[in-house]
Amino acid sequence: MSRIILGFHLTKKRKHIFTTSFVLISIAVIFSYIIIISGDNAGQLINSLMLSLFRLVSAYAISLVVATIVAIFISNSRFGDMMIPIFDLLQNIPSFALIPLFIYWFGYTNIMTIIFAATSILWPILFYVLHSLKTVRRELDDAAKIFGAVGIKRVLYFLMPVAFPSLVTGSIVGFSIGWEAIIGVEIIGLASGIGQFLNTPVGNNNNQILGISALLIIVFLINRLIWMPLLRKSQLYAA
Amino acid sequence: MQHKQTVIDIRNLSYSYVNEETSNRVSVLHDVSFSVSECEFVSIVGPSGCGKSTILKLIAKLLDNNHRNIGIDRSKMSFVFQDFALFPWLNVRENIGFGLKMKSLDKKSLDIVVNEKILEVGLSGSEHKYPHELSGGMKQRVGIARALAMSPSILLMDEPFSSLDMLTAEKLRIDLLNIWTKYKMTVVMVTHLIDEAVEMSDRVIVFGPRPTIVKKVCEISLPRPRDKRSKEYFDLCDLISKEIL
Repeated sequence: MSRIILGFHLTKKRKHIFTTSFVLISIAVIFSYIIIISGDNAGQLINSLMLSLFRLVSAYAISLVVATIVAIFISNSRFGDMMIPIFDLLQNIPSFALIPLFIYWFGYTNIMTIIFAATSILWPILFYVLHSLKTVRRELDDAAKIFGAVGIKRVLYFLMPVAFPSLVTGSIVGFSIGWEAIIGVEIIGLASGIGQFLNTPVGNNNNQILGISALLIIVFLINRLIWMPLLRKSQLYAA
Repeated sequence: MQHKQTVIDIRNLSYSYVNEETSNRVSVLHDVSFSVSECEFVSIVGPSGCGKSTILKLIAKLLDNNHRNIGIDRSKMSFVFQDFALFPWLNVRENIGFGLKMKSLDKKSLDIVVNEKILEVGLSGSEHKYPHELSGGMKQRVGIARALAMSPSILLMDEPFSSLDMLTAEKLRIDLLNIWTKYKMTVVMVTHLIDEAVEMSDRVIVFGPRPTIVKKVCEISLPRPRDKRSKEYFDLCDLISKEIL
């Protein structure tokens, strides 16, 4: 029996390795093709894509830290319930309406793009985590207290695992909003990056096709290599 | 005769809360007093919603109240939950060792205690399983092992067998009595099963309906292991049933 189970696991593992390898090789081939047909634009495409990705990851990291800290603070505070309507109001302000303000404060800089994107990514993570912390099963909370999870240990060993599935789903939503914010501000603010690469007159070159194809590939890779494994892991935390 | 020390002393304890929907204050406990001695097994029974679990949570300081009415040393107290309350992201070993990890016990000592408790509650072979992979009986064994890992001198149990089927519950009751005989800790168990209370306890405290008062305290002096078919056993069950009904 154990041999059958072991065999099944190995088959499953081999299938996973095969699928992942196939997907990665296919992407590498498509990406190489894009690079070849982009000719002189290849370097610019890669640089623009990497710059936008750097901005996005930085904005995401800031949002993740801020949203988690604020959610933990609010969920444990007696003023928490008063803060939720205020946050709800703030998150409903159209983020693109704030671009002139951000340009006024920070100029056409990397910092401006990152902070602007962070203010968009923050909300889904904050609300998802807040919801999970507010709805945690009472008995689990009691067990954590009884067995000594207090102070920083409560945060690390109880609240963070409780919030983990929401952190993952909030991050997935936040990341997609982040792409929109980064590319939007790069187009509007004429800043460098994939937004600026795409912002050329249609028909002059292949920039739109190349940029969107490259974006699709990077989005697919992030989804396959980061979000999917994290989503699978988060099922355990929510069981 | 050896005098046993009182380890839980509840004096004139009242508890009420504000219903958030109606904004009315609901009185749960009214002037409740009783004490529990060291190594004693005490059960609390009463009608549904009378505040049996509430008093256990007050003893464990899981509810806000004026705790001056409850005399207890909580440093050696542990708790077994009705719905197990196992952390779903931790496996059996990690759940059992959770409290010890919070006490910053070194890994070697923690492993020794966890291994000992796994053997004691019969969880060998399931150490690396996660709660969703366990049956109800096994989950409660983990819950008991987690509580015992803290080496408690006082064990509070909130309807520990009510989520289990009859056979599993009976097996677990026997195992728990063996563990109690071995460690001789003080146990306070809340249950809605009179039969279970008489089978396991030295004393049964009967609560009345809300606002709860202590209606009766029954000493159970039947020899252990108890003959559940004896006349005395049935008489005690009947006596307690009449108090509740």
